[in-house]
Amino acid sequence: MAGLELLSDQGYRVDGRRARELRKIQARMGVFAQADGSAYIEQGNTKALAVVYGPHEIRGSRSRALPDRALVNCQYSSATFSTGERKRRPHGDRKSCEMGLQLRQAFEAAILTQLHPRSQIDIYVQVLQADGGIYAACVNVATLAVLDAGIPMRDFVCACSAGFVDGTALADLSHVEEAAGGPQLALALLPASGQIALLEMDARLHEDHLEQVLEAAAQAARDVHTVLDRVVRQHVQEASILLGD
Amino acid sequence: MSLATRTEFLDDSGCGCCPQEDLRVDGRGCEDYRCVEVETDVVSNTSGSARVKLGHTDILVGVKAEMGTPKLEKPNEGYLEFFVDCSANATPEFEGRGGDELGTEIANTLYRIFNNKGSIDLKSLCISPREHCWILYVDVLLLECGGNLFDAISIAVKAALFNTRIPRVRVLEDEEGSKDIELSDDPYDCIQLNVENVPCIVTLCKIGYRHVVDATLQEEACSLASLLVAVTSKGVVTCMRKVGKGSLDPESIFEMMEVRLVLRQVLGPGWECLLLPAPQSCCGHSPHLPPSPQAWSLESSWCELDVSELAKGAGRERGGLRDRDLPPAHNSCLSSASLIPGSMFLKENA
Repeated sequence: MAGLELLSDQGYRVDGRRARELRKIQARMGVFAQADGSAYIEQGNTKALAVVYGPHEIRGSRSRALPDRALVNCQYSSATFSTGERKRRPHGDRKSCEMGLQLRQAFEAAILTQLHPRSQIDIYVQVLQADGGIYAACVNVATLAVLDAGIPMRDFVCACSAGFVDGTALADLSHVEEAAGGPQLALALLPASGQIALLEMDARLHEDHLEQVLEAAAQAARDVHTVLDRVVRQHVQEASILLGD
Repeated sequence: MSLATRTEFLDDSGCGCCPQEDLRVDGRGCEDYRCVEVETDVVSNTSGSARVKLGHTDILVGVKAEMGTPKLEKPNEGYLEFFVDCSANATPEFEGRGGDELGTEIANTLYRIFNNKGSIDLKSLCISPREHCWILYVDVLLLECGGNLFDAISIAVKAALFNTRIPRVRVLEDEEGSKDIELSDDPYDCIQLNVENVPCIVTLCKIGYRHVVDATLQEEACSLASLLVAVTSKGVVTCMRKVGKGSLDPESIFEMMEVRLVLRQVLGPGWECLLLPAPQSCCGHSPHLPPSPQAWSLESSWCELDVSELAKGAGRERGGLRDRDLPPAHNSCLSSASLIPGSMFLKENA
């Protein structure tokens, strides 16, 4: 990692955080009026929006309808100006398709799809500014949007990334840390049960260190859950005040 | 046809409004805009960005300046590239490739309204003739559709261009004739674009025998056809288009252009003072102070402007173009609030 010290001797990272410290998370539910559910999240400089439509009738060909559960449809797209270098296409490229698929798998694990047979739930995630931890931000914002839409879920889906530098696991990697090329692990957790909804690791990492990194990511995801839970509770409180209950 | 039947016909048109009596379903008059919110400097990794909210329509525009080679036919000018992303966030119909058609249509309209020498000084984007120039990628992202897309997009594009800061570069030439480009060290040493002549679009929707500005989705659905006029604050029309499936009488086109003249008076100066940095601009005392780039880069501004109030104010000043009086509650038509930069979705919804 030429010339860039990701973790100083004193234990500080490039942006001044400690190894297991998260970036600041700010979120808001119900940002759009027309969608069934919507949410916005800022994790450090990463900003993402999610919109949920449904459950509704299957759009397009009826043959896609599942007789026993709802179809979860996810689309990931990232604004052309979101990255440092301008992107040519907002969606439809390989990475976006993969992200869409992973989101879908994570949410099929969490949404009680059997309650809505022969229907469809659309989750659209849009990244407005990318600064590392995109997958985690997308999962977190989509969770809030699904909750805002009032779709029954087993649990929150909370995600966080983790890396490994100089024998230490780092939680919630920023873009600089991701670009340095070390191992990185993305983890989506159902915090109440501790079940893992998604696990993905890039680059190489010795087996002995895996547990440490996994533990760091899981702890970070639980921390994210605390923040998201507070956001949801605050939103419900605000909404109930508005309704006059 | 008697007047009574005409009115009935209009009432049956489906939107439940009665433009004949200058009263629309949401209580606005035919020439009233909804409240516009403009926020600049929202995405930090762009050269300039803006978010505009017009009723339920929500637009985010990012401008990225990249270095490239000038076009062959215009060797000493830079150029603008437009791209409109109709994301599935706006409506599920835009999923996959569904939004491409509308996106291309809007992008082409933007190309057309900027296709003249006056709109923007493209020569200032040239670094060295025939070799290097700045290309401004203007990327529009539709976050929510609530009618009147074109007007909202043009406002957002103008605000984003106003917010654009392009780093100043120098071309150094050594004895052998090889050129080297040097970027300024000072992050505040940048060029700003003059957006005074950047046009805004005013869309006039024909409903029955009247036309309305700033139509909502429902009003657009029962409009036969609409006229789209791009006009600068000086009153220069840079583009005109008829959109929609219906047809328009030439008479009514001229009638619509009249309304546009009134609105231009309103929109032009209104936007300019809106785009100046907060808080001086928004108090209305000195709306033409030159913006200081430092203040801008450190603090984003968020302003709210009720154009219809401005319209009424302007009407009064110009000798009673409209006979309705300004409501006493609205002493100031501009209000402002300072926010943490880029906190766009985190503030309370009004």
